[in-house]
Amino acid sequence: MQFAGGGVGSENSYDIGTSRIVVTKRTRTAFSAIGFEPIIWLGALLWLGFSEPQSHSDFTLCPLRNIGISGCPGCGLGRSVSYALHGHFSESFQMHFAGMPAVLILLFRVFSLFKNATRNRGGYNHFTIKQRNPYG
Amino acid sequence: MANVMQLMPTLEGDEMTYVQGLIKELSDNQAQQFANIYTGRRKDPQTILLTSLIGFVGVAGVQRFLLDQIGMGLLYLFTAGLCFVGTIIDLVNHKKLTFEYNTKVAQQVVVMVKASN
Repeated sequence: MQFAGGGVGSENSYDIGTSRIVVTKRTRTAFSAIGFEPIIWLGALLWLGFSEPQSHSDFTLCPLRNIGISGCPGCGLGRSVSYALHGHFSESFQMHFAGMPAVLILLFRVFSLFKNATRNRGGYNHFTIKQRNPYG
Repeated sequence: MANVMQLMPTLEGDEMTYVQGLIKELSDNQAQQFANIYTGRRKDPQTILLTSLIGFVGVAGVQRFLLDQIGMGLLYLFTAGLCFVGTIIDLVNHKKLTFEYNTKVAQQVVVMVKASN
């Protein structure tokens, strides 16, 4: 089979035996190549950067705390990152030792995801292949 | 023209079409060599899915170590996968994470195969 085809969204079909193979070609954008991962990391960092770490109340998004389990090794990480982003480094370390490394690691991860996306700029061709039964 | 469907029939979806695009310029010999090296070095999305699931019962972040993301792996390890949130993200995203890794591997292998012939 050959992946020939024209512009965006073109369709080629081939008859193989009793079934027909339909190849749809579309060009992927840089956004669909990086996905939602950097959006989540950046969103979390921005949220923690703009919220006040002192104002944390009993309300929590932590899935473990909400079902009544405490003592998770990640507990305090959110407050730690929040303190680190506000420049309070000793409080950050007290809350969780991984808060400051977490900021750097997540920013590096987001950076490398965007670097990948720009390397594939202009998109790459994406094909979907479906088998259709002409008698179906 | 080298055909991915004959050389590496286990590849699926995005990965298959990406590899097809890479190897279509190679000679049959080079393409065969690419297939041998690439199938040994690529990661299976299922492996990443299963190692992500380990994050719920034991050690979190194994999947990130497997994908050569040492920093993220250590972060997951010491924070129980960012309090399970990161583990859940990786469960949903395991195909894209694996694809990202495999495209890098495929690019390296193509350069290697072209240089050696």
